[in-house]
Amino acid sequence: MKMTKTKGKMPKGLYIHIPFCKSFCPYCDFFKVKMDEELCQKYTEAVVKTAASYALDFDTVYFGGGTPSVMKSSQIVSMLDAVREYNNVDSDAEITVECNPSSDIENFIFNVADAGVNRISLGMQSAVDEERRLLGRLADRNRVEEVIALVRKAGIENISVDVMLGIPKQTSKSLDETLKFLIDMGVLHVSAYMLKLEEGTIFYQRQDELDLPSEDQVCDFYYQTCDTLEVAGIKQYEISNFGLKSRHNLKYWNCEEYLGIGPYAHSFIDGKRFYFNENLEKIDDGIGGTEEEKIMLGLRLLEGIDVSDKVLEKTKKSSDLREYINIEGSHISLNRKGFLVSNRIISELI
Amino acid sequence: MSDYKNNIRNFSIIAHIDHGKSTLADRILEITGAVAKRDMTEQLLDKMDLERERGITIKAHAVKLNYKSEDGENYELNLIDTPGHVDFGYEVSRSLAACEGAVLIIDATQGIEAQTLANTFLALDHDLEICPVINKIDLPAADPDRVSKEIEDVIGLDCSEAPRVSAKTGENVEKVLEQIVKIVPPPSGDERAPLKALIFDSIYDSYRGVIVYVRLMDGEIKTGDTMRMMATGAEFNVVEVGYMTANGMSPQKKLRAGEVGYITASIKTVSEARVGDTITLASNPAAEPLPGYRKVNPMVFCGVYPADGADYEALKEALAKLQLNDAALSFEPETSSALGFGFRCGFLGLLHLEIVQERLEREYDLDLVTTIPSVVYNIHMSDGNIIQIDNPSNYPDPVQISYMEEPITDSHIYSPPEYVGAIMDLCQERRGIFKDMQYIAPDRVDIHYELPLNEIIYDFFDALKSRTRGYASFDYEIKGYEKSELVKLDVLLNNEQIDALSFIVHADKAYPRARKIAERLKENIPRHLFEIPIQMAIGGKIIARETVKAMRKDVLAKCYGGDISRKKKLLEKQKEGKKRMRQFGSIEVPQEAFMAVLKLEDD
Repeated sequence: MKMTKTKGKMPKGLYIHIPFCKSFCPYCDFFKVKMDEELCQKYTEAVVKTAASYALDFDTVYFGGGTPSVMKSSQIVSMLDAVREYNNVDSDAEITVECNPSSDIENFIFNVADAGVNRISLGMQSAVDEERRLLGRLADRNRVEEVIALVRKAGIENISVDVMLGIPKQTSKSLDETLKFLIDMGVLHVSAYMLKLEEGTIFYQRQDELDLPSEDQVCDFYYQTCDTLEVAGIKQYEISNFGLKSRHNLKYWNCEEYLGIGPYAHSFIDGKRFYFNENLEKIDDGIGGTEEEKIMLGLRLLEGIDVSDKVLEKTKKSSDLREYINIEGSHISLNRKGFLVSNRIISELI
Repeated sequence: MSDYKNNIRNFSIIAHIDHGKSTLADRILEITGAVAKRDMTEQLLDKMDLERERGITIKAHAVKLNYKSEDGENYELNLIDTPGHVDFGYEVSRSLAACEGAVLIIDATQGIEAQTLANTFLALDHDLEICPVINKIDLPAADPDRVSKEIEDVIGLDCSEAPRVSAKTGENVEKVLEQIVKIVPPPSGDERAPLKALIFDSIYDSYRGVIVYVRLMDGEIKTGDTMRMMATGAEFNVVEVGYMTANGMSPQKKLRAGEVGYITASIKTVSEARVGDTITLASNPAAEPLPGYRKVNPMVFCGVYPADGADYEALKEALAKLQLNDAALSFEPETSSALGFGFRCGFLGLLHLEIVQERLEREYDLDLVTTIPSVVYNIHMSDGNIIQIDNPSNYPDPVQISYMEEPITDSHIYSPPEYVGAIMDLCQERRGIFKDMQYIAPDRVDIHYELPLNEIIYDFFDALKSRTRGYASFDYEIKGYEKSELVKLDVLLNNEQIDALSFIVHADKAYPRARKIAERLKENIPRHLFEIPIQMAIGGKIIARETVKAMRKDVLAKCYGGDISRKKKLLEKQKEGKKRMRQFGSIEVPQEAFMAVLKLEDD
């Protein structure tokens, strides 16, 4: 079904989920399937068809996973072509592909760069090989270094690297090694996530044998990350994100609209949230953009949000919140200490 | 003409928990053809789920069985089942009073236990003939000779004729019935005398009103009679009389002296048909009631509050419904600044409390917060007045107190000798006063202590079980009140006193218990955005302190691919969790914290 083009409105973000992985990481509970060439091809065709059924304006495109880099570059390119053909993609759109440095991705990177991809997000997690092995990541540090050089060679400067805090055996010293590596590499963007043990994962089942840092240590790691990156000029702008802002991810936090293609990719279109499950049935996920959502998402940003009088009143009344929140007029934002307990604070405010 | 009474046998079964009472009762029902094997739910007599789960009988039940004996005669056997727990001693005594005999079941692998012995002596007090039965002979560890000797030595019963059975396999169970016919005497009584019917149980039925279970001692009763409760004076018109059979109620024209049956009379609550009361006829009343009636008084009290204040009415209705069937349960409205609106409930003992609480939660689907149980204290004021309190909130200003008294029990613990040391340690910790100790058999000791009731109501059973690996059994009765040094211990969270957590404790125990409770609260109160001091105080004096450190981390680091429903769900869960918390000022206390302070024994 072809829809009419919606010109003039705010351009949206497009997320394309690539649910394939060569091997599964022991901490991941995301929807994914074992990589299979035939399946990848079929999936590509399905995405092309889906992309063709929309007619929207996009100024960001994000291939996330799973592991997008297990696909053939030609498949990524044909998906991107279909998006461009049936929708309107801004000429200066931010187009990101997540890559796993473990696999041989030299040709892949050159080809997608040629097709207009201008941002690469690398799932490194740690620069310490032993820590990476425990996370099920196969590439060693030298390999990561090579891949970063490669991406640059392909003309992509906007490189983001994922780092994980609170992983098995991590210490303040080993984290410092990881952060120094990123700074030395000159990456423009860092995402630093705290490991969460999700039910059903191997990590969850075996948490007692994992030698995980304590909660207090993880909190210290978080502050250490914020401080170290800041000194290096990679400034925090969101709870877990630092450096040159990701325009695509900002849409999530700013409650702007986006389309998600693929199983369990979420969409927010025309005020409604929905997603498709693994059988591609559309699941209604309620109304989006409510004040609750704006608080929940907007307070993740360092810059914070404007709030209604009611919420402002609540914020001012609670003496417990004082040391975690900055208030300027009707604008509130969390400080770093507040970021770490943001769930608690948000549930107080909504 | 032979007397119809000659072929009636009224008996009950005495057994310790797990010695096989319900299983034997099931086999007896099968043998007498009262229930076809295929219709048997295991342990038919224990009707409540809770009874089955806990393996104890909470309410007494009765069933009439027809049995053709080896002598060729047809007998009418009335099995009156008795409750099997120390909290229900009075009910047991009334059930026994309705019988002429009792079957005493002893586990061939374990021997005599405390409650068995207590109930056996109770039965002997009622002049019941006892038929000992040795059960579980199918088990490899069974030692029927040793157990027989133990019964002969301890109780003085001749066991040469005692059937050795396996209720599980059914082996020799018919011999039990022969013994009943042979040993238990037929009831005496005069059907022409004025009616005297003993109420040994009553249950509430939503269609018929209260069904009163009776044993007729003298006289007759039939439909249409006007009956009178001799203790309360209340009168009712008899709607129906009949026998209880395993297949339900079987209406009859009349019930006669010596028989066991039921009466319905549009009675609205069981408190109008109290266990132990005597029913007579208004037209021709008996001169004297049967002996032994007493109004049962609750011994243990606690506050019961709905977790969600909106459930107050539902809780009130549920309690009222339970009370229809449980005359020993009392409740009255109570307000706590910490917990809101709830009820002060009275129970026979801790087990009774737990049963009521579980039934409220299970059958009425209520989430409850209960406060620390309390006994009734006598407070002698300096002005000469005596006040009784069952709620620490009513504790008066200490300067006005002259002295206090607390209820003391006579407690008997029966155990293999190797645990005597552990038991004495426990009783000593619980302020027990040692009275004496007797070897009732080479491998069984009766340890007699005087223990304050308020030391028993906190996890004493659990502690006893864990220290004796389940081998000891326990029985107590209230001895009276004695003077005692008692203080009220208060809990302060974030410098605010939490009234629902206050309790009364012996002065010597105040410090260790305060420390323990502070620790338990610390473990059970989740970290907040700020530091929370936990203080324990007597009067204004802080005697213990702990701190719940401020929370450092509660964050969802990643919003995967724009999936914000995950985060929403997490926040909803957090909100849901908050509902299960009790709000004290800015502090949220989970219900588990209330429970945790009740269980002080180390795991």
